[in-house]
Amino acid sequence: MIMRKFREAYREALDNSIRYTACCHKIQDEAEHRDRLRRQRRKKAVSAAAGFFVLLICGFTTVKAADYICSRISVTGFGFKSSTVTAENLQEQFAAGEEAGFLEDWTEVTEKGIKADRVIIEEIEERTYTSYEAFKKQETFPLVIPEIPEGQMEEIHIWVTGENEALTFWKKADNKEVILDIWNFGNSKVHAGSRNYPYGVTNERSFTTKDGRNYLVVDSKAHEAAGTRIHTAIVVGAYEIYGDYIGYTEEQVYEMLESMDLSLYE
Amino acid sequence: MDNKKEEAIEQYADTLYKLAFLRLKNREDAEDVVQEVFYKYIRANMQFESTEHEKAWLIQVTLNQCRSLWRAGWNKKVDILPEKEACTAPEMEQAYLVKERDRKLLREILKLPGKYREVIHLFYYENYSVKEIAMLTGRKENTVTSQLSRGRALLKKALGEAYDYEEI
Repeated sequence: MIMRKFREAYREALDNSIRYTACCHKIQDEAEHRDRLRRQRRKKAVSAAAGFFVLLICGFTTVKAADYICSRISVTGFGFKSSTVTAENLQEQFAAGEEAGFLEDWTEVTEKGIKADRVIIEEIEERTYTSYEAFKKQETFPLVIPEIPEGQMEEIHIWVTGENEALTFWKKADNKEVILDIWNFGNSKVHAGSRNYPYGVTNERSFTTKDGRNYLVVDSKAHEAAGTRIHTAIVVGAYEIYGDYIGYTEEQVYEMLESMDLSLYE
Repeated sequence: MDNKKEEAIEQYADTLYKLAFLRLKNREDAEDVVQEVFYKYIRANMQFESTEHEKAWLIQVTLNQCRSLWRAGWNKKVDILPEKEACTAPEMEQAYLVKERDRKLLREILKLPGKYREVIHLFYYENYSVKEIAMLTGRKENTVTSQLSRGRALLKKALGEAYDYEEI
């Protein structure tokens, strides 16, 4: 059999599929430029404010259903970590994942020079909504939103990933932000993840709501100019729910936590 | 804008777009990145030693721009090719098979981890050497060589022995 040169095949496949011509006027247009920057800032703002979540899901493991343990979240110097497996098992899963080519290279938190865990690499579809109504029309992911103090300038974004595996809710009201990251691990046998904030976290405490939900609460070490940043985490059923509250007082955050009925996730 | 810059934009737009798309897996983000790179290019008033130097600068800025946009842990919807098309007429069969083959190849490329995808593209599509890729991406030559070989191994596993990879 004559083997086809990969170089030629790849070039041909890419050229047949993607062609792009730039419009010089659009590039130079200041309004277009500002729009591009605004879009980028929004993406970065959500990413930076929410910290980032690094995750490993091992759907291909041989763990039996009986071995499944409910998620556990604990506080680290840089945020939260959660897992359903022991550290020893996790090492094996990482090795298996690397061997299978599923894992991305190490992700670094440059501020502190620490290295985080690894990032899941899969083809995951992401859908974006800019209103709660549009989200409700299309999606079935359970989303409980706290009662957020109203602002004059409000913006909302909701991202849903894959087959209801994860949801990110982001609302900006004036200069304050609420971000909820909700992960559904109902379909994965084991997982391990960590949610890290660039400046690290401090002041670990817990807050119990009137209906008995116990949240882990930490403060971001971000410099004062960045405003107060309070982060929360809780496990309900197969869901892990992380909250980032930027610019709100502790009292306001607790009021928002009280306003959420999480029984939907049980 | 002078004619030289317009010519460069015309010449490199497709190259940079392909690179940005392969990194970000999203057409809208790729277009934003390319336009922003050219916006900087127009205003930078850089003096390039050669066309190769100019192209390398544009590629570096594109890669940096892509990295700053990337949201850790999230991959965007991939829309590289339209959904499967029905093949009704016999004369369309050949074209259909070619499309299917292209689709399969690109799907496997897009499944590679980002850093492997980047070096595979620069090596096979842009014909850059390992040394040049190391300079463009700011990585060590050994790292690039290892990423190339791991990327190839994953492609071989996925695509079988259908291709000659001209290994170095």
